[in-house]
Amino acid sequence: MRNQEIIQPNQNLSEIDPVLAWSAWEPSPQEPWDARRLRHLMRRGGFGAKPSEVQTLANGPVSNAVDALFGKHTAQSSEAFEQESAQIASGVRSGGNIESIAAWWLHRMLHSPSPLIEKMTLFWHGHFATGADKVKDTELMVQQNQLLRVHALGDFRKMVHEVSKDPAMLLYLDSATNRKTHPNENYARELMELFCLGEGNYTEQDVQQLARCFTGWEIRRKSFRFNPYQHDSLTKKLFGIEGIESGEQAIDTVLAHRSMPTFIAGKLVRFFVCDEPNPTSEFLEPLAEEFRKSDFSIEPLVRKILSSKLMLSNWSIGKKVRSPIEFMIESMRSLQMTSNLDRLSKGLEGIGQALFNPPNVKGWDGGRSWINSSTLIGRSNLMVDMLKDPATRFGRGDLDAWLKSQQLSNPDQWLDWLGESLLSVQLDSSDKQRLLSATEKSEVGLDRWRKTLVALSQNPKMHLS
Amino acid sequence: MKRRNFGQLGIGACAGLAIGSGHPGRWLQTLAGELASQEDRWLHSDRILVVIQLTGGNDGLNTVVPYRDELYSKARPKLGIPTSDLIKIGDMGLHPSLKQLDGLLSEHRFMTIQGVGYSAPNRSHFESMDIWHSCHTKKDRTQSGWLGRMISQQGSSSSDSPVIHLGSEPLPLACQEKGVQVPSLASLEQMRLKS
Repeated sequence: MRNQEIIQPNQNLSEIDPVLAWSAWEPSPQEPWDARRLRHLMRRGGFGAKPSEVQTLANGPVSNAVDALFGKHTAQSSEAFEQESAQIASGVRSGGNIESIAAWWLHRMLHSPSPLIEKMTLFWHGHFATGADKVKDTELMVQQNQLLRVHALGDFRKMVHEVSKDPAMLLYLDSATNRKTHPNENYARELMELFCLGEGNYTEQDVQQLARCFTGWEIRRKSFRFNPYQHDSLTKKLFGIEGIESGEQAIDTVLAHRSMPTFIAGKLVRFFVCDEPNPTSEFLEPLAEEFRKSDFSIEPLVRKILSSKLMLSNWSIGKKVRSPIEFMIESMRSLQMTSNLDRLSKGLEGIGQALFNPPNVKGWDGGRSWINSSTLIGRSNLMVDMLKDPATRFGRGDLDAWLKSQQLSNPDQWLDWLGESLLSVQLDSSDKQRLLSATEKSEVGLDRWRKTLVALSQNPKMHLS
Repeated sequence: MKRRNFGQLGIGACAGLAIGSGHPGRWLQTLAGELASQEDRWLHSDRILVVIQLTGGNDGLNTVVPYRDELYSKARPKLGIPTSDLIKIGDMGLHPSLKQLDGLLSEHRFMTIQGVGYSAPNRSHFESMDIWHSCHTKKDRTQSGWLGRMISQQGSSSSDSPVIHLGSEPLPLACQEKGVQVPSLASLEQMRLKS
């Protein structure tokens, strides 16, 4: 049976059979379901595993671990978490500064019992990228963030309809100047190029026609309003289809385009499975088929990707560069570390990932572009800053107590623990030698335990997922 | 750095300015070829090529103004700059706020290249920027930029990179090429490793 086949780690994507790649992964003697694979899944589908999750989930079936990412069976902890999060939100909203809102979101990523929801919200934030610098209204940015969270795993078509009427998005893509006599093409273009279809699947005429459909879509008192006086009510033609009039009809027409399911599946694969290379549409077809079959519900598509052979085989381990958020939040979750999240959000901005301010409407490029000489040093420096911050706690206590609770009593053990918990690609003996000797000399500043974590942050393996 | 802040620094600092929309390939290729052919000269001199990329929108027609062309007044019926306000260079005029360039112009140390584009443009901003940085009209999947390729072709005699990127954004595509490492420097402070 072909399903018994193993995908070899060094195989080219083009040599892998698409049906095999997206079939459900099953444990085998070569690829057992163990703590390492569980951590890989939790890293990609969430923000890393907490120590408490590792044992419980690695001993159960794979489907339990996938369910845990979705936040199934955690109703109680979810209620307590939502209360805490709402409390933080009410505190920062009145202040209105975007770093504090970013800190509120980072708190959700650190503590949410449904990490996949936050990961998908982050995915959609990069997909429907909207920047606070231009919107200049914190309240509207929070409103959009909630919209993305509510639909994160829901009905994609419904999400696109609502995003198209979202005030922050309308401001960001200049709907204010989209008038009957002078249609502004920005939203129309990006709806097709970046949000639904990808470049090359529409013509310039389609952009012009689509822009006319959205004329009169305005904001009044921070809400969407349709202004019939500014709307061009003549019929328009999209992709050769005649008789389209309203913006809603136009969105439905874009969503029905044959390239939509493949485009969305491709972006999800790049987000969850591998940065490179770009998969072909043939390779994505089983996923596109799943998306169509579920009437464009996001959850079954994401579940199929996360449970797939390609995702859970050794092939995909180490195939992504960690984003700044993944680098910090995964480390903090594994170490049960809490800290000054305002400082963390500023620090993340410095190394290329300012929440609520993606670089442009295309979102973060990700992959190799996360790393350059400044950001690599910046990552290590941010780790130093967070470790030195007086608010930093480990499991609600200090690091010494936490190390004892984990039964870690010497630097060798500590380095092994860090390697196992934080790295997808394991340290070899020369890495370990170097890291241990780098932290040997006791100098002023951080103690040896903290220094080990900082030294590890300077190792390239720390930045792979 | 924000584009606006750079403008305030004084544009006199700028040696070459490209304005317009479109296909940069040919002249950038020529420039890269020129640099590579004179490798000896520029490798062993203190001269430094500074490439300043002002990313974002700019009204090219109102920067270098084709004031004698009647299409100009049609395209800018309200926003057009009165002819008397322009700094004139033959058939063209510079926006009055660019008067510092006038001096450079008279010393032949400043030029503009207009109408840069590619045929049958699809008007995607991202596609245009990819072409600008890579000098490839066809988006081949291996991403490499014109400066990156130049470094790769001329090889490097020392371990230091001949190109450095200054700025806090990710490394521009122009500087990328397989096997080529171009350091990014946002600020000197950021290059200091804390302990």
